[in-house]
Formats: sequence, structure tokens, C-alpha cells
Amino acid sequence: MLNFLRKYMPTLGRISYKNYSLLVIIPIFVIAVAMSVLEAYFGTLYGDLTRIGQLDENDFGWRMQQPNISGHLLISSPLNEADILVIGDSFSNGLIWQSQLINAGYKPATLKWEDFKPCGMGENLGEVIRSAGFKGRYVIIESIEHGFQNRMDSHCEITNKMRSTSYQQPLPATMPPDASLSLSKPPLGGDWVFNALINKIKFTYLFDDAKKYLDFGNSGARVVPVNNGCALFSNKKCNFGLFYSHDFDKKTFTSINNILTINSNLKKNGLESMWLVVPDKATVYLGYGKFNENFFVNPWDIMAQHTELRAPNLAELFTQQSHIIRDFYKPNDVHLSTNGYLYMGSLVTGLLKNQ
Amino acid sequence: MTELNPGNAIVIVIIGSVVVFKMPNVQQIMANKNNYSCTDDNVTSSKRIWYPTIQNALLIIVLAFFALSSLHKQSPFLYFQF
Repeated sequence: MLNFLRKYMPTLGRISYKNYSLLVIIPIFVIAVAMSVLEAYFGTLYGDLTRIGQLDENDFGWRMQQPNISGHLLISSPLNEADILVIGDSFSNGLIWQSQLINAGYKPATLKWEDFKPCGMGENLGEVIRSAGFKGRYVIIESIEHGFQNRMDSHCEITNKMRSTSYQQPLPATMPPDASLSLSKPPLGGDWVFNALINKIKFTYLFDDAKKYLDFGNSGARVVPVNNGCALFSNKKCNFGLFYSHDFDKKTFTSINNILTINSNLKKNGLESMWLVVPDKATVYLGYGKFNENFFVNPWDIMAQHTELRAPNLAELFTQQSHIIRDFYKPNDVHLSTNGYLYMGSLVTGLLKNQ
Repeated sequence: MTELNPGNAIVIVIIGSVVVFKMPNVQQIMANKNNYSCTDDNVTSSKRIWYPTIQNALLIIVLAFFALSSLHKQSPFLYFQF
């Protein structure tokens, strides 16, 4: 076809050098200006779910002031000086809820799940903790609900050496970031802003009453209407909740026997454990197992059947608190707000004090 | 690598425009220098060198769009993995 056109229409599309230059430069300039205008419009990203869902922070960003925490409370003590060991994921890594433990006079050390290899939890966890120099009495094991089954699915012998030094975390934000345009602002990128524009149009015009939810950002985030949402969240589109896609494909909980094995190993080494399964945001605001692709088994109920396990029902407690504390979970994120973390910290501190 | 901040894309395009409009076009230089290779297609069998077309311009615009959009990508990472 192209050869045919070239043969009989040799000057097809041919233009002068000047017109060619203009034809190339002007549209590229328009694209660059559009990118900058969209960058200015979408402001600064400050939520995980808005980032991966490519959604507008003006619609989902939290707007309520959060409490300030003193920097000296956001410290993880060295393992050999600590009296509490926290093993946790991103909910513990910011050290925010542990600030309540420090306030109460404890010295917590926090380790990540990846510090324990080759598997998430080892059948020799107690020995490993003791040989790493931990002399305290309490071990708090924290995991987000949708990752808990994966982490506890198997157990093996831990072979790596754990980190035991002290570290500090930055202060959490008390207010949303300044959205004004500045050259020092981290860029959103053309790819993100053009997709965010498409998603903004999709969210505004395609979300009718017939739809139960809408997925965004390669199905990384899901928008679901939430009853009485403006009493729960401070974001502009507060009648819609933004959730992480993996809240809806979590595996069925079947790993109670592994938990009991690890728990008894800790006890054998003179360690008292507390299992904190932090409920998914979807569990708190939509209900147990709502829209879940797999059969839902309530891990808190299963753990409550075993008296040797100390596992507070955070799903029930957080659901209650979400109606009392606005933005208990950040509207644009999978994590708790500072207020939410402080509640969690005071809850754990209370449980330890009553022990 | 320096991140592409808002406004930088415009600066890049302005500099590009100055280069294109103020500097002599490479193809024009080549055409003037090698006159024998730029004769009329109807009277010679010599192979013609490049000439500007709308299709070519559109291709460059599309490539530039993807290049500008890809200069900074948001990470899809969520901090649950550790």
C-alpha cells in the first residue's frame, strides 16, 4: 500500500523545512505546557493509594490536622537494651504507635519481617531472638490482614543474623503538603498526570449508582461508595472510600497451626507474645470479607479459640474507633492516620499493663 | 538524574525550538553540500536523500509525547513487602 502511494504520489505529505519544524515544535510545546498545567492542577502526592491508583489528591487527600509527635519518641532501641521486641510491617516501621510504649516507659525495638529469613516466621524464632541479644519479656508480632496468611503459610528455620542497632524515623506529617507549584517539588510525571486526568474523567462521569465499585491504576486501587462516608473521612469526595486491590484477593486464613507452633517456641524461650493482625481498610469500612475473591475466614475469631494466644480483635476495635475518630485510616492511603496509630499504641500499652 | 520538574519540560522545548529555528538544518546542509544526490526524481535515478513529510512529523510528535511522559515515573511500590 505504502509502495503504491509512493509510486503514484511521490510528494505525498511533503512539506517545506520551515513548516516541518513548526509542525513538530508546536504540538510538542503544547504537550509540555499541558503536562505542566496538569502538574500544577494535581498538586503534591501524599498517599499511597492515590499514587498507585493515579487519582486526584484534591478528591481523596486527607484534610484534617493530625497530632504532633515528639521526635525522641520515634526511636527503635538496640535489641540488647530493649524490653519489647516488635516484629512488623509498614504499620510498625514508622514507629508511630510504638511512641505510646515509650511514653509509658517501655524501650521497644522494632524489626521488619524481612529481617527474618529465609521464611517470614521461623519455628526457632525464640532461640534466634535470644541469641541476637534480646533480654526482654515481650514480643509483639504485627501484620496487615491481607499479608498475614502469606507470612504464616509456612515455617522453617531462621538462618540469618538480625539487625540489632538503634534507629530513628522522621516525624509524620501533621498537615497535607503545600500544593503550590514549585521547581523543588517532586514531579508527578507526564505518565501519571495524563492517566490521572483520564481517571478523573472516568470517576466523575462513569461512576453511576449501578456500579458497586470502580478499579483504577491497573487495578491497584478500588473506589467504593461508603455509607455515611463524610462522618468517617475528611477528603473532598468523602462518600467514596479508596481501598487497596489486595484487600479483595486475600487468601483464606488457614495457618493457625503454624501460629501455635511459633507461639509455643517463644514461650519455651521465656517470651510472651502478642499477635496484632491489623485489619485491612476494607474490613474496617466495608465489613468482613466484602468483595473478597476467596472464601473469608475471620483470623481474629480463630485465634480467640486458642486461650494460649494473646491476639486482640483489632478488626472489631478499629471498626468501632473508625466511627469515633475521623480519618482513622487515611482516606488516600492503606495506612492508619497518626490518630489511628496513637489509638493502636495506647491499646497495646493498656494490654501490656494489664498483663 | 535530575527529575523533570514542572516547567522544565517547557524549557526543554524552548531550547529545542531555538536550536531548530536558529541553527541551520542538518538536512539542508547535506542537501546543499551534496547537490548531486538531491536532484529531481524525474530526471535522475540517483537515490534521493531525506525530505520532510507530515507523516514523519507526526511520528516525531508521538515519540516526543512518550519520551516526555516517561521522563519521570511514579513508583508502583507499596511498603508491605518487608
